[in-house]
Amino acid sequence: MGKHLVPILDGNTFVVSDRRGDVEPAPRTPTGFFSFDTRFLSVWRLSLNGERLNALAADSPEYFEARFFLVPGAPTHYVDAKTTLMRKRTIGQGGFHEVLTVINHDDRPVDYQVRLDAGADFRDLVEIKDRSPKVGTYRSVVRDGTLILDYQRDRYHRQALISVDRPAQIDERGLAFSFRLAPNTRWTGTVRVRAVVVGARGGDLRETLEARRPRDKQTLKQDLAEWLDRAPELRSDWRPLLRMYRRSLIDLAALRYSTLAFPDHPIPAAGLPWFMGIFGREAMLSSLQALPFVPELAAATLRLLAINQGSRVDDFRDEEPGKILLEFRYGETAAFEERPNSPYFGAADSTLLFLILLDEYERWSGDVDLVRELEPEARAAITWMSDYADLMGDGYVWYQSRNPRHGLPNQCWKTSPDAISYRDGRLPGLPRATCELQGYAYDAKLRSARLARLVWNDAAFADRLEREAAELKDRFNRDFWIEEGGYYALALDGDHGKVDALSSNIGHLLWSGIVEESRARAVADHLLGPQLFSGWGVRTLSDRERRYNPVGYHVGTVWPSDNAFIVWGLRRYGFNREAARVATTIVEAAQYFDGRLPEAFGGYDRAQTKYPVPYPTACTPHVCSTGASLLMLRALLGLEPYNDVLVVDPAVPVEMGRIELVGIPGRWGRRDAFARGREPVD
Amino acid sequence: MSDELGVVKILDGNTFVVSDDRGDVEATPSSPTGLFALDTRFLSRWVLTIDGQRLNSLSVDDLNYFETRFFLVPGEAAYYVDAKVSVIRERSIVGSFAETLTVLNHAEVPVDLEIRIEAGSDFADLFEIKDEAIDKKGDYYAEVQDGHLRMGYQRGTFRRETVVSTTEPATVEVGGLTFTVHIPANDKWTAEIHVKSLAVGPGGRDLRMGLRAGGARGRDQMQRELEEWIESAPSLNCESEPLQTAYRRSLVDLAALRYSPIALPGQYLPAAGLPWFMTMFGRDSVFTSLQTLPFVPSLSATTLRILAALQGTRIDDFRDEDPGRILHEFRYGETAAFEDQPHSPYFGTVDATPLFVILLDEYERWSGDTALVHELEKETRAALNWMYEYADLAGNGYLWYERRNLKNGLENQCWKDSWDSLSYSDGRLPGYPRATCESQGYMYDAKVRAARLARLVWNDPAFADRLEAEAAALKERFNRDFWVEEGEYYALGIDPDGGQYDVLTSNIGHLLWSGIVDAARAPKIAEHLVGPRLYSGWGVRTMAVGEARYNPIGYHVGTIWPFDNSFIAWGLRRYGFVEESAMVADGMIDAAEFFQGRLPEAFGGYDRELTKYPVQYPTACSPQAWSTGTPMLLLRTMLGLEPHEGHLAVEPALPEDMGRIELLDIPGRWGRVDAFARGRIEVRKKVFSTAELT
Amino acid sequence: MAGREAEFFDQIGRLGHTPWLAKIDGSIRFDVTEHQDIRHWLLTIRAGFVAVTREYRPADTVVESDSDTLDRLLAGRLRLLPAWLRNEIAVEGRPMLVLVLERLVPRSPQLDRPLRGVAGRAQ
Repeated sequence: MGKHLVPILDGNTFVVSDRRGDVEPAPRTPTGFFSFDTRFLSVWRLSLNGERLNALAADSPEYFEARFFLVPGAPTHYVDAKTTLMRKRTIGQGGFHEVLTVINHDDRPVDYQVRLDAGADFRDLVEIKDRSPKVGTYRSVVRDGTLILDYQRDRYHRQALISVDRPAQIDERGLAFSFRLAPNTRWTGTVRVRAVVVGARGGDLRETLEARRPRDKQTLKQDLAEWLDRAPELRSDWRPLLRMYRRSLIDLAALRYSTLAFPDHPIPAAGLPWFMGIFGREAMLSSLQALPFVPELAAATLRLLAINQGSRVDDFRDEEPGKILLEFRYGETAAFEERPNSPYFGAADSTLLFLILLDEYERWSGDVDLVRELEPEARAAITWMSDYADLMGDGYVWYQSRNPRHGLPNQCWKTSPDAISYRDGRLPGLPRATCELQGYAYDAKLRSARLARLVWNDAAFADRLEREAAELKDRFNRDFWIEEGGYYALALDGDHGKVDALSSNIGHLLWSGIVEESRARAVADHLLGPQLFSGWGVRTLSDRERRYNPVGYHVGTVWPSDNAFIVWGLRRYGFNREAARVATTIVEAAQYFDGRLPEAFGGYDRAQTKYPVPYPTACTPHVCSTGASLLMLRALLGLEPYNDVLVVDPAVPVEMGRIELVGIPGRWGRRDAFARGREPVD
Repeated sequence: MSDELGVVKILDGNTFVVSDDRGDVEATPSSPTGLFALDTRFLSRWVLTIDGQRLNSLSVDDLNYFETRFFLVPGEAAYYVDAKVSVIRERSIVGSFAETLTVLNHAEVPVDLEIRIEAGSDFADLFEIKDEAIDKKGDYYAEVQDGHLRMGYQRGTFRRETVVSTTEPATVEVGGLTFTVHIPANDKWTAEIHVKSLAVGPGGRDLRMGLRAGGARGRDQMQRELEEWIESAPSLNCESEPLQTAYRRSLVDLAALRYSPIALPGQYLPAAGLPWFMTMFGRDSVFTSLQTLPFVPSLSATTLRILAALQGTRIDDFRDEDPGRILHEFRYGETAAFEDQPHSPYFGTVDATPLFVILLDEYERWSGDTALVHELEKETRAALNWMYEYADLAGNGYLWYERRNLKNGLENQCWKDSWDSLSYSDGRLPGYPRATCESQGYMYDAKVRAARLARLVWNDPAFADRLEAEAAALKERFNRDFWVEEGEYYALGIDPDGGQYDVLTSNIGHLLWSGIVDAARAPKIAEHLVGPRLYSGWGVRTMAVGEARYNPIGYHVGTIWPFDNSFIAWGLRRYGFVEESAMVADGMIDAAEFFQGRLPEAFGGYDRELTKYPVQYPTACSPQAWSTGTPMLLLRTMLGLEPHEGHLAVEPALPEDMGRIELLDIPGRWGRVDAFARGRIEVRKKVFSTAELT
Repeated sequence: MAGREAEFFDQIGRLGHTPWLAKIDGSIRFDVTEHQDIRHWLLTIRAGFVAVTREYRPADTVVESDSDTLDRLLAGRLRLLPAWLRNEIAVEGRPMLVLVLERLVPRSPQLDRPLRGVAGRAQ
């Protein structure tokens, strides 16, 4: 998200504008008014007496509201503006509204014309990323004092309705208010914009469903206050940590997304602006990260993904029975199946993460009912591992898209085409088996075994899973280990050759527990070594690799979420000092982003940059980065559930001072955790 | 230094660069971007391209006030498309302007690139930019000489040149430098580019060469100096993060704004503000020195010396100069050189002279430096003499002003110097001459303080007695002539015939600071200052809501000036209004938080309830010296620091939410002492709404 | 009425106990139009079983479709959600049950097999 953009949002409805509050036509940048994965306004431009305005200030005090302080004309020294225009924008009730206030500071009466230009390209959010021509028909009409912007393609029909609360001149390209103001008086008017996903019988498609009704500002406000109240309270001497924690809770609240299927149980959406919807991987990872703080997200995510579980083979969607989805969209390309997004299953890790999350959720919540309820889906997921994911029949989880045209080449979290490479830069052939997938599979089997024994009452199945896990660990430590480098290969290629790049993925292996004890030290040393550790965290790819690029999406940038799992992994293997070091640097980086960690930032050496360098098109907020701060806090405090007890085993670096986390929810009710910074001992 | 709009500034004294967040300069006649020195723009175009493509900024490191670093990538940021090349553009101003370009090739294959810097200069005078009127009378020239690009401007014997050179092989032509480079895979390329700004004097040498002692400072030296500067200031430990941040920010900005005049190399006084006012201003320098005296006393001594050295000696209508008068502004640009503008120096200020006297006394009270008081006795007497010999234009014992330079002298010679800042409550503008209330306060204070110096240092008790008698008479007269009966406040000013500018303004706060207010009337003044018409919730407005000319974003008719508020807080404390003083201080520190600790010159007078955050005034200078000094004076005021005969008294009146404060190693005649305080004053956070008033 | 339609609802009615349906409780009615006729199918899901009748009764979810569209849906040539977004079918009530329906739509057995890897070359 650009530096000078102001976003507000509620679920998958959001507005992104510049600091003046305006939206300029920009086919490739995600500015405008969006709902249901569609851009309902691509032009939204305010002028006063024909003149554009300038922002004195713009801010977003709550995630659903933004305010802009504007004056006409360009700022010139000593020329005082005689007019102030305030623009307050609030999202809610299926659209947004703007309250415009004009104040005349002059000592004489002034005639004003306030005009808003409006236009809509009705682009699918996916099209904005990819650019493709539109085939439908545009119309713009004025009816009963409402400006209707309209797009139709066959029976697919979308409308933006723009209305006002007082007399205005409305034409096909916007509307204008004309009025006269006496000295030192003000005028106020309200403009409403509503997105209509026109259904088969007129009206909004969504209104025929028993979905959650759109919420107004008061509800949103109250809801946010309650959300913050329910979460554990953090007290700390270290301000950056406090700030990051509070920011994360607010962002997580903002990113909650009410799905059509379970409107009352929101799941975490992935990130603004690209990923405001259902994304399996991000929803699960962030639920996992947030478990000790807001456990309800995990239950909602598991239920939703279970109901959408793959049930057949569909090459277009990379769907297979038992598979958990990657992405679900509602835009035009999804409607016409030009893209496999309704839903898309092209991920090899989502199914494994589903099992891991189910177990972790039970360990915190004690909610065996959900484990029982989702037994069929969990079993189907386990079956998928052996029946569909093991493409080479050798016991590993592999991936290769069934959809050569639109499918993702890499179906692990590092999705970009160049993410998986050899040290010399070559890209491996397909299928591919990345190392962390094997770690997740190992972990998923062990965790499922625990659930089988405890809840499903199937000891034989549990034994079988444990045996498979043990075999997998053995095999993995043989096939993936690169002796001369002292680390695990990033992946195996289609010929079972090692893809030998040094990457952050080895950190996830620690988290999964698939790393042999004797090799853990070497892995930890690599993670904190100069090739991977930038000083602001662990890079996705070592800076010695041919494809290393400090501003490469998955080939050199630092991902806070990745780092949080690495911190957790380091602690799992007892590397407390290393865990503390990585966590500290990520929190330090957060300071430069006002406590809000972006999706990714540059992998430049810390010695070279005073600040972490932002990655240009990173989503912010991004839910896994939001969750990263929570998971790091959990890892630093060493919070682990053991049966009905919450164990606290802190490894807090000295500079963090005292940390108290009060009211941690779980099967034990609420518990507090106290810790004091001290030199961590491994 | 970078602000919200992506403007990046680095500076060293009055040499500075203002660019966009890519490091590029594309100046238009009215936008103050470019490389500036001696009030002249030496680069108005400085654009980096790679293969003809502009770059995009990923981030900007503001390393120090004199250096910065840009992280750039070519082309527009597009989703999932990683840049294969990135650029680190490092820039510093240490004597001259230098840039180091590092181009990194992240690709697995070698690349061939054409890296180009476009360079151009319009040699505009800062004043021409400010007035948006560049009308050059001289001739431009440009040539390539020994691989250097030399751009010049000549008007008679006035000559300014910009010379661009580089360490790497390049094609140098008029208009720019082009590097054709081959960078192997995963490798990088580096070049240094130097830009020299020359004020060409007789014989082709730079004018400054003969004057500057020791030549330009090196980068390391500047770094060291900055560290020493910060170390030698008192250290602050406090629970209020905004205050802590603002204090630190102020120290660094103050270091950046230090300005060594050509006449006194190696000594520093505060320049007024970036970008318009990187030069010496009498009023700004004195106010800033007063604010910072407990923290960095050396600025005061230099300010006093340089202002004394440049004191007016004769009558010169063009410069509004009189004997004994302290200057307003000193410039070096083309308009000053050709006397298109009267700024070399210009004397059109009514208050710098009494403020000079006030600073001298305050400085002695802190430093015990009687030697300087001796040294400046003649100038101080001349200043006092100026007040009744030249400034009493109406012959009634007040300080008046009326410009003699009708073409481009200043209409208003008080701190609120915009054309419409003085008015009656119905909006009419008064005639001339004009006498503003706060000037009378300053004069009163100057006389009282000078009496102390006369008795203590100059050994002239008769003079002291006379000054005290005059001061007492002035106070009595003032309380009679300026008091607005029905409003119960002091008029902003008066006409020669006694008519009052009956608007309610922040100026009454300065009267408390000066001590000219009758004790019986002080409570009413305090009430006005924190009442709904003047107090916005963030601070005291320059003009009260309800006045005809009130405009929340009017430069001097409704905005809030942090510096103004710091003196108001000081004044409130002087008269014992501890709660009101704490309230003003508290609001200002709250506001500072929204500006990352750097208070701007002014911000909007909107109600705090309406805006929830302070709205910055459109083109306010930032950093600006007396805004930079504001947190320091507020700190002094909250801690109640006052020197008493060789001792430092600490009498805190701290808002509750400031928590604990320790200010350690406060320098002065006592050596170094510490001050401790705990927030005990409950500040009324409830803010008023003036919605009904408008 | 196309043969596929009757066959599908018949098959659904004879599914027997289906574990993953155990957590679902609700009813879906299909209003299928063909020329001037409307016919109804009512699916009632309870305790892991699906009962199918031809009743016209209020249901938690109502799907309106023409006969041809339904036929393509049941042939696996059309997916429910995209069709709904394109207004080819109309849905009212609880959308969650539509997702259930999506999973009940028959698989094509000949397609339902794992992909087997063929080792590829390094690029």
